[in-house]
Amino acid sequence: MLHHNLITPDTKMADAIHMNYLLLPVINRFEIKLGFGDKTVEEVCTENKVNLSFFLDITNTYHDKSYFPKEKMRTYPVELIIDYLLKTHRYYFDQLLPEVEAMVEELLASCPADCDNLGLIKDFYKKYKQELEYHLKNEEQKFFPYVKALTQLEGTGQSLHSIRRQYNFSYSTHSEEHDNVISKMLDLKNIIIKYLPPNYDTAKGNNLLYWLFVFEEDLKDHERLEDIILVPALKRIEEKFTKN
Amino acid sequence: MAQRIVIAESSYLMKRGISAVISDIVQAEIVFVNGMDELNHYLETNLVDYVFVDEELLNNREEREFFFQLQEKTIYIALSENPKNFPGSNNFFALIDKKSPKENLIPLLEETLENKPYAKNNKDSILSERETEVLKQVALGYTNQQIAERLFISKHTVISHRKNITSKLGIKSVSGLTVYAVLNNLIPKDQI
Ligand SMILES: [Fe+2]
Ligand SMILES: [Fe+2]
Repeated sequence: MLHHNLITPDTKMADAIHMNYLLLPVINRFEIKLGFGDKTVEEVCTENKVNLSFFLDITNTYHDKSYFPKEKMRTYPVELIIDYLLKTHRYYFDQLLPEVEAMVEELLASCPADCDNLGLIKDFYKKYKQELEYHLKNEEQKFFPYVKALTQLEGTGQSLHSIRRQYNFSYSTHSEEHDNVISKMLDLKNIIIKYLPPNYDTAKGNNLLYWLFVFEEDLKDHERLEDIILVPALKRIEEKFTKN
Repeated sequence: MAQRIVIAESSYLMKRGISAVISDIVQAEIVFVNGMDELNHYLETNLVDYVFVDEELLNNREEREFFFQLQEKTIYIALSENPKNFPGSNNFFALIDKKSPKENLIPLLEETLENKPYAKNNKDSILSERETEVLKQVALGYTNQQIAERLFISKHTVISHRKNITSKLGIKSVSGLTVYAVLNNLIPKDQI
């Protein structure tokens, strides 16, 4: 099965995309664009000054959900991880969120009559979009800067306590927000798959659903990196400073 | 109908192995989860026939407690390195020794995978009258406590109805349940 194949330094970059085209936006986050010719993953990474091992772990964990070397991934510099996560946020803000919104609007616009029920789905999405944007902004203002500040804390004379107060990051709120954004995405997909009112345009409905699947897969991968790699890394740094 | 199987196991080789063996025996949709949080989350929004879980994930008490509030019909199978020392729990249907030879493993898996609780009982996914009643109240914006008072049932019962509703419909959030209720004419649109 192709699925068992992991991407290696010698894999041709083009073959990696053939293996899983959903990797395209992922590799874009490393500033790598299409048109690789016959270059291998290693060659493309060297050319673009990308950390090869990090690139392989990010693409492979995305590609094969059962592959997740968490201990190894926790050893990468947090700046590297945060940079990747921030680029993912940009992809949501600039592309997925507005594009899916346009698809929802189009679906509603294609409805000939009695469109109240489709309107409910639009309202649900709009509210979801706001909540996800709020979560992403919250991370950009509290979570990521807090992690970064802690990694640079040594020698500044500042205390953990003061940094903690400055950024006011809460583990429990963060994890509740993750639960919320993931479960509402699943809810939306299920409402559409199982209960979409019949007066909709087939092509537009299918298109919307397709992109929700893409969105969900990307978002799950993203939140998983935050929950399983970044949050424990943060806890580790905090512990180091409480011990001292 | 394919059986829905979740594997919660951290060793890559192990999860690859077990899923390959399962695929040889039955037609299955296999999902992998990392850790208890992910497992918990997945089970809240999906109906699952079988969960294979590595004993390592059950190390601490808290995580084991989780197994007391599971979906009713899902069958749990523990994967153990050392079954003699497995803490043991009635919540597990079977205990599989990771080191057991093929001639023991295959019959045990075959027997275990015969049951397929959800694949058999499709019509169970329809809401009961009581669940529909609770769903309406949720959609109208009442809290669990308020619903308990309005329907003269305990809060605990409300919570258990809500779990069943979520696993049957595949919808967890209040706003999602509200959309469902209006789409299915359980409550009028102007009441939300
Ligand atoms: Fe994020
Ligand atoms: Fe997040």
